[in-house]
Amino acid sequence: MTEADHVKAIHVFNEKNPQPHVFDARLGPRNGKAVVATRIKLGDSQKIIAIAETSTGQFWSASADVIVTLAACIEDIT
Amino acid sequence: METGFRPGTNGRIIPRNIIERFTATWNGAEIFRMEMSPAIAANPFVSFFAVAKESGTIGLRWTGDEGFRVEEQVAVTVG
Repeated sequence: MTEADHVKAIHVFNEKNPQPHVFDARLGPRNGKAVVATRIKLGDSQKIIAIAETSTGQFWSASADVIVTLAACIEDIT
Repeated sequence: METGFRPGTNGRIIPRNIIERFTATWNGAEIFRMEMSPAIAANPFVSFFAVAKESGTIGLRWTGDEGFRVEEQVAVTVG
């Protein structure tokens, strides 16, 4: 993570939610390392895809299969 | 929180209500920003790294739908 070569963004997507986009994280050399953690909602087992964008214009991607045993985001509808 | 995809009891879609943006600054300079979609959790605990170069103030700002806005400031001392 130097000024000349760093990860400037991490974009995360899902396969099956109504909207594929989950979040964009904007990073810079001040972060030291390109690691972000958060909590997301998934209605079903699916693949999660992360794309890292570097300051040199490269894109790196990785994916993970996530198993959802129970859709638990059922809140009271008022 | 509301995703904006669920109908309410009257059949109409309940308007989206999420935290849309989180910004972190160190002595006023932005060091981290995150833009979120409805797939984010109701309580999106976010963690990230920052290199501690100088003492000062870390500013944290969360903004979202329905005028949601929270700001926190934390003083840090780099020895």
